[in-house]
Amino acid sequence: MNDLLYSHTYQIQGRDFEHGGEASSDIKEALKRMGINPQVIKRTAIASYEAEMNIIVYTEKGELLLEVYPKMIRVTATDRGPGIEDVELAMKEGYSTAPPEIREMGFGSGMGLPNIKKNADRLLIESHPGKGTKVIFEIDIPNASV
Amino acid sequence: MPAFNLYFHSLRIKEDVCKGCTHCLRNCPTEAIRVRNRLAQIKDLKCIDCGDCVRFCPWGANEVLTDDLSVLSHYEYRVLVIPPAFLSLDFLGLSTSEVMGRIFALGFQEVYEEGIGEEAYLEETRRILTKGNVKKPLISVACPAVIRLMQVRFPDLLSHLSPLNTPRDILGATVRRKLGKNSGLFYLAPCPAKITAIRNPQGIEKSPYDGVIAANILYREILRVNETTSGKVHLSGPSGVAIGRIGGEKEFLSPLRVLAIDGITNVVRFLKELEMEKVPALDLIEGRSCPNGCVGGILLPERDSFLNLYRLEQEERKRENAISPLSREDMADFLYLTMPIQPRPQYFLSENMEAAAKLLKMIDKFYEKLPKIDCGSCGAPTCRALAEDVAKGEASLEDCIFL
Ligand SMILES: Nc1ncnc2c1ncn2[C@@H]1O[C@H](COP(=O)(O)OP(=O)(O)OP(=O)(O)O)[C@@H](O)[C@H]1O
Ligand code: SF4
Ligand SMILES: [Mg+2]
Repeated sequence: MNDLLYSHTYQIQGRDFEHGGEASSDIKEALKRMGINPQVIKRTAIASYEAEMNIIVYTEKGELLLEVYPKMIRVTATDRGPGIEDVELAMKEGYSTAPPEIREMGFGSGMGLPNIKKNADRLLIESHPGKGTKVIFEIDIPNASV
Repeated sequence: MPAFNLYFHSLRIKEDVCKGCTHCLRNCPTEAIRVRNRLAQIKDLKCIDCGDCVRFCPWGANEVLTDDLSVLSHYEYRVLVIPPAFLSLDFLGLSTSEVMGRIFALGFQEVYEEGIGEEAYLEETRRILTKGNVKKPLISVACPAVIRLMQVRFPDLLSHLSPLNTPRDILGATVRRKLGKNSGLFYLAPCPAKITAIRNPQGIEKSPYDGVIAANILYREILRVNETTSGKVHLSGPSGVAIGRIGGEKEFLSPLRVLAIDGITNVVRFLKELEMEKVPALDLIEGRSCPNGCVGGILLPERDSFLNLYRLEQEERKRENAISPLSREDMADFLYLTMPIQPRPQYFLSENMEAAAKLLKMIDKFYEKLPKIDCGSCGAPTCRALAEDVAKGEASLEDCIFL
């Protein structure tokens, strides 16, 4: 598609819980200022937040790429972390490999990926153990936004 | 009364006093202030009249526009509605009845306490939260700065706003109906937000009030007159007094799940969480712009909100068995807002998504060049805000002292 209206890349530092959620909050702000349908923004922001937190919790470093098209928003979360052995299993509600100290911080209920799936219209996960993970999701913009 | 202006504000900067420092700039919750040529300016479309610029100005350069007592002369019969926070003030030993007597000596014939409206407001709030199908958490409309904050920064949360009319206007409209043509109804404001809410009302067609007087002006006159006359006083019960402090709605709506938040920056933080649905199941948000609620209003002569809070709680205790002179039924016709509360248009970069995206790309481009330290020296509150001003042609990149 070459009718890309807007794109921006947000860098994410692994283990940086203090700034956790900033990228998705910036994404939300950008979409709000563009006057995009609030329901679409909410779904994008929630899904982005889950992808961002997974990068922070499980990897050293990664990024979120936001792309806005007239009829659709795409977010691509890329990292060079440990990868996911069994994607199908990771997609199950409640499945988590988060260690105890992460659970103490309120993460690790195994709801992140399912939550992305719930909020996105399309979801694609590509993961290579030892190399990294790419989570791509798209959310359609209904006609007559603004 | 001055002419109504769509974006009327009650805050103004005194150009001869302003030093062009950045105290207000840094503390404005909606980034409505710019310092240009050593002078602070308020952006009308962004200002929510919370008054934090006044609170944080060390020089007293931000002033609040209000009526003074001379407006009383236009009316034969004059009625004043006072916010409960007013009775939390230290009147240098004067009793409540002496204070009232002096208010009458200053030209009023009747005084009502805003809390009377609050009692109906609380009762109706409980009813719609228990029975109605409202979007939870509902956000209380009692503080006008919070409503405006939502119009300016959180347009998508406006659907959470309570459909109820404000306690101030529920009471005001009820009293107004009883008054004749030559009578004037006045509100005593603890803050610029309420002055603006009366001059430029949201959610109702027309304010029931004929004028609005700043609490500190009346306070000064009360200490000065030194005589009393008689008139009619209508005070509320304890829950009406509690509207003057944070936690009043929470306490009197228990066991409903009410979260009380004071301080406009705390309200901003919470609304961001609510937008992301990262909050527990709640029935109502009691948000107040000022620290400790209206007892922290910037037009109260005593700026220490903790002392005001203490005195207000004493007053609540004194009223324990007091009964409000008006019932919910008396005020039933005015319990709800009659018009929708709309977002402020400027929030969107453009009406059209493509144009907005273009502007956003420009903002990103300029922002990349800036040091991202939000020092404020350029006169914009953040590097991001300067980038936006540059993209809109309102400032130049060279305003940044690092470039
Ligand atoms: N980017 C990633 N890199 C490596 N492993 C990941 C990544 N994202 C998810 N996983 C794996 O998938 C599992 C499930 O992820 P999911 O986000 O659904 O739940 P969680 O992160 O464990 O808990 P929650 O998101 O509810 O806090 C994780 O425990 C982890 O093992
Ligand atoms: S908390 Fe009360 S005094 Fe402060 S702005 Fe809101 S209504 Fe006014
Ligand atoms: Mg997760």
